[in-house]
Amino acid sequence: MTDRRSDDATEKAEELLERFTTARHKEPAAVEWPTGIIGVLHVIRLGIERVTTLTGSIAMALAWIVFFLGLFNVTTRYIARFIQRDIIIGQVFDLQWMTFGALFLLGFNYAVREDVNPRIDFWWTHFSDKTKAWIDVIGHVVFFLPFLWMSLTILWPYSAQALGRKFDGTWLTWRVWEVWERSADAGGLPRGPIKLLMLIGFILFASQIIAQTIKSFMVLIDRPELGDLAEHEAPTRVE
Amino acid sequence: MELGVVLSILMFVLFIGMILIGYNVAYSFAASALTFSFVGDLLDVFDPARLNVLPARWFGALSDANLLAVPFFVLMGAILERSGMAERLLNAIGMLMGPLKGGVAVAVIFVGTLLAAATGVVAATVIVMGLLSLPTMVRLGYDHKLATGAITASGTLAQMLPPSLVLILLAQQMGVGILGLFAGALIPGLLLSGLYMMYALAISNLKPGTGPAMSKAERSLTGGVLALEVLFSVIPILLLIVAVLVSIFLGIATPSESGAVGVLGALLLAVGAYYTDKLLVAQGATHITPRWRLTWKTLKEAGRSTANISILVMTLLFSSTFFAYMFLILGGSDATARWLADIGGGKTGFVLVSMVAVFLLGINLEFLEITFIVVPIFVPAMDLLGFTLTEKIWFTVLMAVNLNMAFISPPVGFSLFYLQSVAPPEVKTSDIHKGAIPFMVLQGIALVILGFFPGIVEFSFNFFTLGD
Repeated sequence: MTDRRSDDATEKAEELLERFTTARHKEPAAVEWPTGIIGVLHVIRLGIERVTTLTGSIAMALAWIVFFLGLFNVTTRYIARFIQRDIIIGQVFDLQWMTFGALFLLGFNYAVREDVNPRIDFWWTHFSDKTKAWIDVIGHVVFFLPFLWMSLTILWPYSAQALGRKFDGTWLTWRVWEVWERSADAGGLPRGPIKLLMLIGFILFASQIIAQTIKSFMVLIDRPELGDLAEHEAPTRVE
Repeated sequence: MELGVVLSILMFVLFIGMILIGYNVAYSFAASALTFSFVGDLLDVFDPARLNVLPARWFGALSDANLLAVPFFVLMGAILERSGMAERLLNAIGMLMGPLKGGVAVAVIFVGTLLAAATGVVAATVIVMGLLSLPTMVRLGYDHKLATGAITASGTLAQMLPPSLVLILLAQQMGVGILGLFAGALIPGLLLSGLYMMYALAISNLKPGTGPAMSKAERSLTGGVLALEVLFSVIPILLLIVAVLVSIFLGIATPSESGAVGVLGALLLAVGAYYTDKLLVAQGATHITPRWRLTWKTLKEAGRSTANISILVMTLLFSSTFFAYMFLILGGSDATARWLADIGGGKTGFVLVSMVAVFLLGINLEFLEITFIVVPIFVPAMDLLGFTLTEKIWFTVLMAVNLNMAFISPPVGFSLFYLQSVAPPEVKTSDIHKGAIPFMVLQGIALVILGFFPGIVEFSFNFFTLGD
């Protein structure tokens, strides 16, 4: 029922689908290098986003690794049942959810930059650039960064033992794994590293929010070429 | 009213205000919760030391075996989306059903149902079908309203038919288990699809000119080649869906394990399609160009969308956990539960009120936000009213049908926007809007049927879970 033109249509469909999935972020164009405090902010933003790019690509690779671990897991379980022998590798199950955890913890900052997290664009689309920038700057500085700061302060005692802090508050010098508690399941993996990763994930999250604030701030001071606003021409939709 | 309850209501108001002006939904959850933990501390109704339980709650979400299913099903959908499955199916089924009056519309609904179940992504299904089959239907002389309605309605089924992301998250938030919800939603989803097909057939036969039959000249494909093409396009995808669902239903595999096998199946399907296409061309099919689909770029894009959606879901979950916790501690949770339970009419009253609320919210919010905003409010009320597990599943299925309705409600339904972005110029936006209305009515009928006969969901649940 499709025409001969179906190839064109397919290509167009792929192009459109790509708009829904490909990276939105573009490296800032070469501009005249700003001086003074603006220059410092710009450099901070570029530095943060370099880290974001890195952890973002790690997160994408982890999506496939989660799949391979899952496949390995289900295969060994079936082989074990088939040959009636216990060859199930308990650690792999733990590794699987920990990898998924690493995927989104390391990807928090990437999703922030790509503006993946949904907004209600009911009024947003009608706002001017400055209004959008004001909403984001105030939201980030007054509300969201304090939340991330609070999270870091409560995550610190939770994760610090992964760095070798003992219950009495003293620190191990280098054999930090001695205080990593074991997983609840026998033969599981220690949970220290993933708890540490929670702390790291929130630090990355906060860093990209700072970069985001800088970008909105640039729009506010009439240097939009140094900023970047959420445009929502092609919103990322999940469904 | 207690001070804590007042604060939790204000917290909710602040949250709604923030998301309305367009601040990120996930950040708004955390922002309003933090503000009111601070205010609560100042007014001595909240002890900030209680915030120390949050890391453990986040860790619980992180190690939740149910949520582990998310990346697998997203990855499976992302691969299938790019496997060329849609065009192959539309071509084959369209040619097969074309000679019937309204046949192409029925074919679109059938294919939409398959695609919806396999990919679980409304946007992709609607866009691909809009690009591939809307021009054809327009050329054949179909009524634009019927053509667009069939596409938007069947594409939206992606939320409803298992395995879908919507159902996984709803199950997680409702605490009903993925297996149970998948089983309970399957027959209602198929019921909707069946209603759409019957409507398309009926209207094309009753009202001349709405869905003309394909002329002989249009049918470029007949006999053996057509049979082969139908076989090659339908069988693999049907097998994949059935295998994934059956292995979950029979308890052979956990949802995440089935998802892993599903991804493997999707990869095999994309590879196999290249060879079956070649075979068809050798048999004399002229409209296909075999193309190797699993390029490096495809795989990378699939990984990217999997990462994007997993992160999005978990960001929302982390911050809404904080919000829900504050709502509970400040006493808003108990108060709304009691209020919803005392609404009158017991369970029926509650279901009616909540359905109206979900529909109104669904017009402007996506399912994700709805799942994280209203479900934590509903669950305590449901527990207070004594909902059993099957009743909870029934309620969740009603919610899913309801969200389907909101999704194609003109003028702001999301599916309509997707179709508008790809519709040929001769299809007017008003046609797309009017076309959705009969299908909304059908969804409304389905909602009423399911509401009055909870037995349908219960039967679906018992049948597919084998009663356990």
